[in-house]
This record gives sequence, structure tokens and C-alpha cells, in this order.
Amino acid sequence: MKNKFILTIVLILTLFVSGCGDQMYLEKSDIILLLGIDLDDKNQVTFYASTPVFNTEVKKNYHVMKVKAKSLREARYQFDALSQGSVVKGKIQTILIGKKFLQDRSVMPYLDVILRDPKDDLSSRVVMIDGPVEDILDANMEDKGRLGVVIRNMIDDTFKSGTIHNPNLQQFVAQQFDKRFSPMIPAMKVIHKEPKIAGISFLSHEGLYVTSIHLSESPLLLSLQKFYLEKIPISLYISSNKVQEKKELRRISIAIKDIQRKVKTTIVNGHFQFDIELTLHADLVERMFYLDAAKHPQLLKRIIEEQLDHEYKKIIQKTQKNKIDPIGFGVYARAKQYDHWKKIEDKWFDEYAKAKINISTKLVIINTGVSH
Amino acid sequence: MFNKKFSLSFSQYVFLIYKTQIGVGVLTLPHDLFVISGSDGWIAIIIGWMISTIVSFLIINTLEKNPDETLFDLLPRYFGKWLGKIILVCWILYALFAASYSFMYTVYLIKVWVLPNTNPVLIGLLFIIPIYQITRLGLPMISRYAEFTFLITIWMYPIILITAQEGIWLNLMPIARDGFLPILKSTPVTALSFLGFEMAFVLYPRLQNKKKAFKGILLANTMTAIVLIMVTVLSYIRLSETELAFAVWPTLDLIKLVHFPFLERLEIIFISAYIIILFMSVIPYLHMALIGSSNLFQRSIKKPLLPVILTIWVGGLFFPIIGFQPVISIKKMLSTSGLIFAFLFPVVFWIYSKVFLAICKKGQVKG
Repeated sequence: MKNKFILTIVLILTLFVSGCGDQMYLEKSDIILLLGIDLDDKNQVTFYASTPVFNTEVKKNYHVMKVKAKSLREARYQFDALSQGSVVKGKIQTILIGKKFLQDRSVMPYLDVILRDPKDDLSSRVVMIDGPVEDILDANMEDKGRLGVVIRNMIDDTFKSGTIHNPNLQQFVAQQFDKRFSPMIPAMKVIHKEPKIAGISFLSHEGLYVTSIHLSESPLLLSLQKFYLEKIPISLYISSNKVQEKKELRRISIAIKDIQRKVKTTIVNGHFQFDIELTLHADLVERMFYLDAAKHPQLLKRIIEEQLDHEYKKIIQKTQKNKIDPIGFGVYARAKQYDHWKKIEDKWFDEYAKAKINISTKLVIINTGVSH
Repeated sequence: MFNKKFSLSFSQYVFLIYKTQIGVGVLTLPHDLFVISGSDGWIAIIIGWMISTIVSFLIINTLEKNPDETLFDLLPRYFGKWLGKIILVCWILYALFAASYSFMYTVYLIKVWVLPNTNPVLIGLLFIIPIYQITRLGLPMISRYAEFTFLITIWMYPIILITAQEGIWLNLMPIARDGFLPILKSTPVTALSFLGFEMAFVLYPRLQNKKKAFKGILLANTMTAIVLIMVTVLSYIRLSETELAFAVWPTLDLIKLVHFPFLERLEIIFISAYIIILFMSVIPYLHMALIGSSNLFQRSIKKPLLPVILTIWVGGLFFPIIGFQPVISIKKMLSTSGLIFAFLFPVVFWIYSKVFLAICKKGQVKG
């Protein structure tokens, strides 16, 4: 009797709790997969959104919206006005930011609405577009698929191959706010209506665009950071005079499998000094010139090490000149020399520019393939 | 339905205390500690663990003299009829407060993270059904529920550990960077996360093997401390300082970082399963309040009282008392009252009982 009574109550209660009050049909909703933020010719903030179209009667399977608004939330109302159904912003895969925008202002305040809402996914990729964002949205997608998915796949696959850094939104925000290093994001470019990954662009601590490096240099930077994936491919031009070969054939490629990094942090004359000992375990994958490896087993290793030292120095100098620290030396500075760090905490990037950085690379070749 | 002389097994006793401790505190602890002591916060947890263990020892030591009586039975005997009753009422209010807060917190958490468009009253209405069913059947059911909770949520530990990769371990260096003063200052913050061991006051008489009482409470405290340190350290190595300083629930932000190719928003599943754990801190406190009030009125009043309390809870949800500010400010109140009841009271009670027993003995010898 009593059990029946409880059962009845529970059954009556379940009538009230059905979750169908705010149902959503996939066909009727506009799910933003790609969000673009840029400045137009008159320096007004413009938002772009690309949503997939599931209606089979329509030829183009994605839909692009463009609105002018002061904030992302305001833009959303306007997207709503443009869209057939309800706009869903919780599934943003990629956020594209124009170079012009980043040269003018930081993007952080514009992303607040995404960071605040717990329903939003923080795994969206943040990408800078070298050129107007509109170009990407106009890109030729006929042989590729839905824009939002294609861009995300391109970024993720390049990341897996070890050539670019691929921060998601959470990591980007963390890097942006951290006093110890400055953020870097992948850069894309559109050439003849074809989107292409161009390299890595560096932002300052304030969130403004500073400089960028090409796709051929970015693996070097990633290997300098302790952050690495299964493999990082590096292709080098050997400038050493120990190699007698024509200029165009002086190339060598290695695939880094493992990195050990030792950083000694000291203070010399009131400035930081970092002594980095980098041990790279790598496979030799390509050598375009002749070298008698049987006769000089150490020679090949040495010339690559020399070249790597040189390349690393070039990259470090570039970051020091621009007063940015994407490699994250600030992490070591704070962990190892906290007292000194305390004094220069707020002007770390100026201090980084004055720091002396010595790097010595050791290469351990694991595998040279079937020929030596 | 159940045997009246129900006795707790060792594992039930451990899980009951452990799962009462894991609850509201864990979700926000990394933030609370970070605000005061920066990335040295995890050291404060070790200090908190030591203090809790000492207090737990005192609790067991006090109860050992009267192995078959709960704190509520002892109070009138030790403090006299009136003072004893006043302290008893305070304890009931404290337990009720802890239970109510955990309940409101659960509703608020689900509303913010999982069901933002749903009326909190409906969420509360759903929640009181299992709470009623379990609390109604008393300790035998609650102890089984504790074991069930542990088993069904065991997958959460590896999930949190996944986040350890890609962390910057150097964030924790240098250890004790600003000296030990901030660490000591932040130690009281950890009290909230250790609350639950005072449950031993009511559980001890029911424990089967009383010799293991302290061992069990030590085990529960240690397990809690390990979970807390794990969550705190992982938050410090994975989240940036700004996030730690501003995010309300760093532990959940940590889980948000876990992605599987087939599952993007793991935290939704995590939080939904976390309800089970949160209930496990609501129910023991509710049980404690109920047996306290039964002691107060000298007869079992669980049957009429339980539905009244639950109705008040749901009724309370009609008013806008759940929100960000109340949740934060009431948490501070709970933390303070926890310090008084769970940490200060056992110490005072222990000293008092020693003196009391000494005087009694003297009186007996003289008489």
C-alpha cells in the first residue's frame, strides 16, 4: 500500500520533469562551427560565423554570416536575425582572428562571453589569419567539405605532424594571462582561394601581434620548448664548410623522437643567464649530399649539431629582439631564481631581452634508415 | 526492517567518513588556497591533514571510555541536563546546516553546469527522493550507500590523473616561496574539505571492531588528503594563475581539459555522477541531525521530522537563495562553524572529559 503510494507520487513527479521543454531540431538550428573576428576597412569590428547546413535541398552545405557588432554577444543577436533557426555557439571548433585586428587590439575581452558560459567548449582552436578573415570564408571549399570542419582538421593534422603549436582556447587564455611567457598561435593564409597553414605567429603579453615564423622554422621552436609530440620533423640547410657540395644540395632532415632539456638558470651582473643543454634523439631521414659516414662517424653528427645551435640562436635572438618569450624561459626564471624574479616580475619581457642565453645541442642519432 | 543492533564493518566505517569528507570542498579548494598561499597551497593540505588526524584521535580517545554511547548520549551526562541540551541543540543545528548547505550547493552546481534552463525547484524535488529513501532507513542503508558511492565513482580518479600530462611542473617551484606564513594562514581553509571525521562521534558506538576505530579514521583522512593534494597540484600545474585566481570551480575547469575523440564535454558526465558523492555528504549530516533530535526528545522522531526538513529544503528553493554570492558567503559560515564544532569542540571536550573523569574518580574514592 505504502509502496504503491510512493510509486504514484514518483510517477506524477516525473511528468513535471520531462526534458522536452526546450527541444532543438538539428535541421532548425544553426551551429556555429567557425567564428571569425576581424576589422573591416573602416576599422569596425566584424564577426563572421560559418554554420553547417543539413537541408538536403540546398546545394552548398555550409552557410556564412557576416555582421558588424561591438561585442560577440551583440553579434549573436544579429546572427540570430540572419539565421533560419536558433544559433548555437557551444560547439565552436575554430576561432579565426584577423591579423589587422590583432595589430590593433587584444582579442581577450571579445572572448569573455565564451569563457564565462560553462556550456561552452574550451577546446576551440585559436588561429590567426594572415590577411582578411573574409578570404578564408570565400575560399574554395567545393572539393573539401564544410568550412568549419575543414579548417579544424587542417590545424589538427598539422599539429599532429609536429610542425605547429596548437593551443585550444583554454591554453591560449592561460598563455595570454601568464606573466612568464607570451602566447603563440598558428597562422593561416589564403593563396589563390586555397587556405594554407603559414606558420606560428607570436603575440605580445598585451595580446598584440608582434611577429611570426614560417612553417619551416616552427619545428625548431617547438623542439626548443619542452613541449613535443611523438615526432618533430626538422629540415636544415647545412652552412658548414666541412661539406663540399653545391648550395641547393646542402640539406639534411631529421625527425626528433625525444628531447631532454636541462636548463641552468643563473644571474650574472644582475641579468638572467640561461645555459640550455639540449639532447635530441632523432632519426636521420634525409641527406642530400654525399658524406663518407663510415670514415667519419662523428662528423655528420657534429655538423648537424653546429647547424642546430646556429638556428636555435637565430630564433632566440628574434624573440629577444621583439621582447616576447614564447619559449617560456620565464617559467625557469621564476622557479629557479624566485628572489630576483620577484623584483622584475612585471617587466619580465624587457628583462628577457637582456638575458644571455647559451645553447648547446647534443644529437643522438637512433636510426639512419637502410643506407648510412 | 533492519536489525536494531546493526554494527558497521570496518570498510563501511572508512567509506562513510571518507565520502562525507569528499564533497563540496574539493571543487573549490585549489582556488581558495591559491588566493592566500599561491602555488604552495598543497602544503597547507598536509598541515590540515595532520590537524584533522590529531583531532580524530582525541574524538576516539574521548569515546573509548563509553564505547556504547554516542556523543549525544554523553552530552547530558557530562555537562548536566541543561547545558548538555544546549550543546546538543547546537550540534543538531550544525549538522542540519551542513546538510542543508550541501543540498543547496548540489542544486546550484547542477543548475549552473548542467541544467541552466531548468527551475531549481524541479531539480531539488528530484534530489529529495533518493535522499529521503536512503535517510529513512538509517545507518545500515547509509553505510551501504557509502560503499556503493566509492565503487561507482572510482573511475573519477584516473580521469583526473589524465590531466597530469602537458602540465608545467615547474609551476610548483620554488617550494614555500614566500615563507611558511601564507601556508599557515591558508590552513584553516582546508578545514571545510576535511569536515566529516566528526561523524565518528555517532559512528563509533556502532563500529564492530572498536580497536580499529582510529586506524579507520586515519585511513579516511589520508584518502581524503590524497584526493585533495592530487586535485590541487594538478590544478596548479595545468591552469594558469589568472584562472586559479578568478575561476570559481578550478577542479571542474581541470576536468574540462580532458577530451576524448568520442567525447568532448566530459565534465557534464563527471558533474552528473558527482551528485552521488555530494548526496553522500548531505545524507550523513542529515542522519546525524535526526538522531541528535531523537536524543533531544528522548524518542524516535525521524519519521515526522525527515519529510518536514526535506519539504523546507524544496520550499527554500522557491526563494532566490541560491546564487553565486550566497553560496560563497554561506561557505565561509560553514567553514567557521566547522572549525568550531569539528576541530575546537573535540579538543575542549577531550580536556573536559579527562578532568570530569578525574573528579568523578576522586569523588568515588572519597565517598
